[in-house]
Amino acid sequence: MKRWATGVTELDLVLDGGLPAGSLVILAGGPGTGKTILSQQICFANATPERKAFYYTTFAEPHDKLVRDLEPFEFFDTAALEERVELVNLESLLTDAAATDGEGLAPAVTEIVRTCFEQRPAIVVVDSVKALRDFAGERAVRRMFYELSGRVAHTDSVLLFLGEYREEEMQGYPEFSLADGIVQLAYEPYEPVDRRWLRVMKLRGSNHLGGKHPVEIDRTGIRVYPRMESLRPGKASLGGGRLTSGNPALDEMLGGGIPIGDLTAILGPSGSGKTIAALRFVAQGLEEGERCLYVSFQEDGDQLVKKAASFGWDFTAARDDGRLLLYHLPQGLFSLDALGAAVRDGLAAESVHRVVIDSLAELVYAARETERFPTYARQLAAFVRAAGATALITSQTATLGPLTEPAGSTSFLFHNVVLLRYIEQESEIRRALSVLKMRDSDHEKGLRQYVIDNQGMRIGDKLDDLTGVLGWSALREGGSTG
Amino acid sequence: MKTILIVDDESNMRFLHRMILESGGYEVIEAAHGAAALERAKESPPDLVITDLMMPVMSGRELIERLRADPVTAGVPIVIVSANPRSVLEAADAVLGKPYDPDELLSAARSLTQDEAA
Repeated sequence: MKRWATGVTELDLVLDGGLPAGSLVILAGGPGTGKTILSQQICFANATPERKAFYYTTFAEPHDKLVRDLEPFEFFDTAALEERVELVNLESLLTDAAATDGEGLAPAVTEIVRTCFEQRPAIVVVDSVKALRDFAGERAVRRMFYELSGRVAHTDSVLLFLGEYREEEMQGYPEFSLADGIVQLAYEPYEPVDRRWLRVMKLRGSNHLGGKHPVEIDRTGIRVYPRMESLRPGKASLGGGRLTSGNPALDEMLGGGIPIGDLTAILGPSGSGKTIAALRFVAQGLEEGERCLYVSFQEDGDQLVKKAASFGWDFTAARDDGRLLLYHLPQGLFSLDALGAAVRDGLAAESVHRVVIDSLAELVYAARETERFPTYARQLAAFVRAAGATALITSQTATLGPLTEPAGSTSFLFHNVVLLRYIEQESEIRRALSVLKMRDSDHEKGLRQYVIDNQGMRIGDKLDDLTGVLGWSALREGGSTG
Repeated sequence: MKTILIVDDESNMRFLHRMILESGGYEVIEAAHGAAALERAKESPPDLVITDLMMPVMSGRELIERLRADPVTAGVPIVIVSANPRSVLEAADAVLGKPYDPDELLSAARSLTQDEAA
């Protein structure tokens, strides 16, 4: 099936490759949801002097205002109007139609079909199709959609109809059953910032991605972040083997390093050295000539580079030549799917060997979609594995006392779990770590003390003769306080 | 009184053109697309045609070609008023961008109709 790309790469992914040629697609959504921007973006992505795009308005904005409002967008090219994109008003044909009652919309239909056959445009937009309902009754509207969908099916054009339809109208109006595709755009409150999303409700002949896909509008136009759970990661083809974490003692505890393709969690309270362990993991990769991706919520790229340098790990050159990709995702503007897109982009750009997400707790709290989290994390892991990469994810636990995790128990999501702890020993707060679990691999079961100095995390020998360290305090075997 | 035919698919633009030109003492007739304008121009050639480019049924480009090809209307001066002012056509006598300054429209009308008194 021939398809026209939308100019929004991730939307094409959602649409199973783009908008099918010869189809009638309704772009429905309330005011301010981005219908006009998206449709113009699609026009400019496809229009050439040989195959112009036609943008028909009914009773929408005047054309000079439309142009003024769209000029700030990078895709919009005023100089290309008329040569590549025509803005045409159907008002005069509709005024004539009003007097003819039942035949109401015929002149407009004739104009659109004539354009499709004579000019062979890739994209024809009607903004707004809902306004046409003011010029004709239900039967005439049904007939218009019937005629248009039947006739346009014999051309290569996509008819994109924009309308401010409410949810209940989308269930009952005949145009929604006659249309080949329905794309819904929405804008909803989601404190502290509102959010937009897009959903493909129907697209005949396509295996489109379901669910609400977050949308952003910036100077480049519409950006779509496909919902992670609806994506289909490729099959992993891992050859086995292990990566070194950058810390020989930790590798020893892990039975020889981290298995390639695994998702490893480093759990620990604030200040226990999770980020330091993650930075060391990246530093080791860079030393071995690997490409690394580091996603951070707290520190931005400069702060991370500076922090790594304080331990003697120089990330500057790797960052400059693209071997180290640093993504900083500020809270408040965050969505799980935006992170997913950042990770997928990083993995797709070139072969990435190591991925760090720092940290899981912030990811869960920032997204405020805890119910999605287990499936989401599985998908994220699947993409990392499919790319042949190995991921390390940090996560915050309670500072003292029994282990608590964000979003309930998430340990089952990880292949391996390393636990960092504060312990009370001989009236001092000290640090200790253990490997809580490793899937399909033997590992050290004991607890080791460690210190953090200017070389990073220095892991000592196994703590013998202690018990109770996973609770509040450490006791020496035999009953005396440790 | 000189007659000006204004051709635009947007009724708001036709309203603005009419208001400005009537204030300058011109008689104004209207058409919503090229086909309607061609018909009116052949019936009674105006002193000036002011046309948009992107319109349904018949575009401004085709209208200009047809007016120029017909001996009855070939000599009628033409002004293009377009959202893309850079799309200058050699066949037109003047081009104005949207939105335009009303004085520019009146000035073009006076110059092309050689109507100093209007």
